[in-house]
Amino acid sequence: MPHTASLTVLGAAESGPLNEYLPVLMLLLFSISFAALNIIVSWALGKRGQRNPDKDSAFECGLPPLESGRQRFSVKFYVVAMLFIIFDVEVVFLYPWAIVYQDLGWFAFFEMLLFLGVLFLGWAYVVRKGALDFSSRPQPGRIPGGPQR
Amino acid sequence: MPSFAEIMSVYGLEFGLGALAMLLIVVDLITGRGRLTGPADVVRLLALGGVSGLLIYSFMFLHASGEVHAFGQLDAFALYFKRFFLATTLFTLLLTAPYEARFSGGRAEFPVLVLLTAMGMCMLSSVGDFVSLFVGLELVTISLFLLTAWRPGLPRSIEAGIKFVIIGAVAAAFLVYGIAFVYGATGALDFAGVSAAIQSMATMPAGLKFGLLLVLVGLGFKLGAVPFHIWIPDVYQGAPTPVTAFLSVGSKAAGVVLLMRLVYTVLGPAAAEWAGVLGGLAAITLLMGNLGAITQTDLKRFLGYSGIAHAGFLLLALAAHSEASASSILFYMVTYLFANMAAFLVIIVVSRTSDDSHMDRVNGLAERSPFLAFVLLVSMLSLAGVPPFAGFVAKFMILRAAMEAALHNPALYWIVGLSLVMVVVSLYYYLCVLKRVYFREPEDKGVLEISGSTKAILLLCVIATIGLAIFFNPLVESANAGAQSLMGALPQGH
Repeated sequence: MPHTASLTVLGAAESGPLNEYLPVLMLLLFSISFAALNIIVSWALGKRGQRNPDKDSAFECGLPPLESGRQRFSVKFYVVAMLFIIFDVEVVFLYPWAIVYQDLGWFAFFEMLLFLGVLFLGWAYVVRKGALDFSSRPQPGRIPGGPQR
Repeated sequence: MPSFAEIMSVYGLEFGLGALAMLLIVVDLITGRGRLTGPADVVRLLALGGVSGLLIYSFMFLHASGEVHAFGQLDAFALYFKRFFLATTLFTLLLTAPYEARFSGGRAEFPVLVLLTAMGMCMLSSVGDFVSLFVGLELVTISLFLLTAWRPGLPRSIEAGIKFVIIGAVAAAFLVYGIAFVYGATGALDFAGVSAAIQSMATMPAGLKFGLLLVLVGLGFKLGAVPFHIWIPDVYQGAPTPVTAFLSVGSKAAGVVLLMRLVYTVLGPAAAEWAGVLGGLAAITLLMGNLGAITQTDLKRFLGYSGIAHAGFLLLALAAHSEASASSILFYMVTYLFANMAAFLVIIVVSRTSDDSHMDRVNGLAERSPFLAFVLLVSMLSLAGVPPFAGFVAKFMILRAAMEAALHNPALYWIVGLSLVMVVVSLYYYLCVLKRVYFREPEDKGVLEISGSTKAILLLCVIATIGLAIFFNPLVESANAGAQSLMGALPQGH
């Protein structure tokens, strides 16, 4: 079997730690074959060479497209998007913490307090430096929509 | 579950640095009233005071302990490097003072990022497992990305930043991929577990070798070893000069500290197999670094290539793999720190704008400022390894350790021979700089004015460089203690 061969190359015996990852390998193979199957089926069954307006239009879940997908929006949003990702990712840490909170007790409480304190400081920095200022009037020393000059 | 006190006993300094960085942000937000070009003096002075305080604290109150925790350890080796990193940070902040006016914005944030980098570096000196290693290394690397591209108005700075980000990401990918292979082969992520697994194996399986090789590549990027050195000249040239100094000393030392920990502690006796790889890397690094430096006309690029050549010496010492060679690396880093910081401070003073570090700027420096010329003389000769300066003692220690190791591993004789030839080559290009300083006509006859603080820092570097060549015993003893703890502390299982 191919997967056992690759495991022996890695130096692990049959009971090695990598065997736990067999389901991952199977999932990988399944998703690859599923994607390949879809492509092959649509290639085989789809009526290639035929064209009509519906077929040429963008696919939007079967609904007729309302407007162009390429809209213009303010460049200011890039700062908001970046800040969103930063704070959003930090919040992910709250979930594992909530699960083990009971076992760890006060240590975990203060550790999370410290973590949130640092996060709060980051938020204060963002607000104070005017990264969330959306006024279009430029203020001295500030660039609208971004802390960088 | 480690107690809070245990964690603080190892990572106390890092907590101090982190808290200091947070404090600086608060001070900036209060005093700067949210402006981007707020009063940076307060912040920088606070940073200087804090780092000096932590450095003094580390000398007075921190003691090495043989205890190995799951999350890390504070042995003599880690303590030596933590002090080294704090000193490097202090110098970087001092170098920032005369340079800061050239930043268009973010003056207060600059020291904060320097402190966070220092936090990562200090953490790396006592990490005990591969995950903390990666976290610490990323803390260093990501902060340095930002510091490198700190002057967004300059195309060269942006170019340096982009190149550094891409190369850094590639290096990190190599490292993580390698760590994954090491974990796959040994089933452990902590150094003790990996080391125990390696020692229980008769021969290393191919997967483990591959993984360790990838980790070596990842760290080679940090160290600036050939063939992973391509980023160095451009990034050194484009980064603000204090950051270049920080990169050349701190970032290189971060690579060194991890490589030493891995080679001496994790590989342990199995490291003999790796002497060939490290020796080969040392040979090409010495060759490329020294030959590349000859043709440089930009001072920062020049020091970049010289740094590659020095990395070659460090790799030679790693290949020798003895207690004496480990101790010589520790000594070498300190002499390199003083000589390099002096050179970079001279560059800051002589360059007229932030984007200009051409070698012509030092032409006739002896007429314009005999003091600066003398500092550059001491620094260059120490880097070259000429006798009355500390660099000579350091090179001598490495070569002696390598010769002793060559008794068991005759291939090392060739690399030692090559390194001796390369010392002569390096003497040529360092003297070429000094020839410009003493014998060329200056472009600008005006006397260079140096502030008192700059003079004091340069004087400190000169005194240290000469002093360490004469009174090297205290530092050598402390380096020996560090090397001993590194070699002796073979992990006791877990």
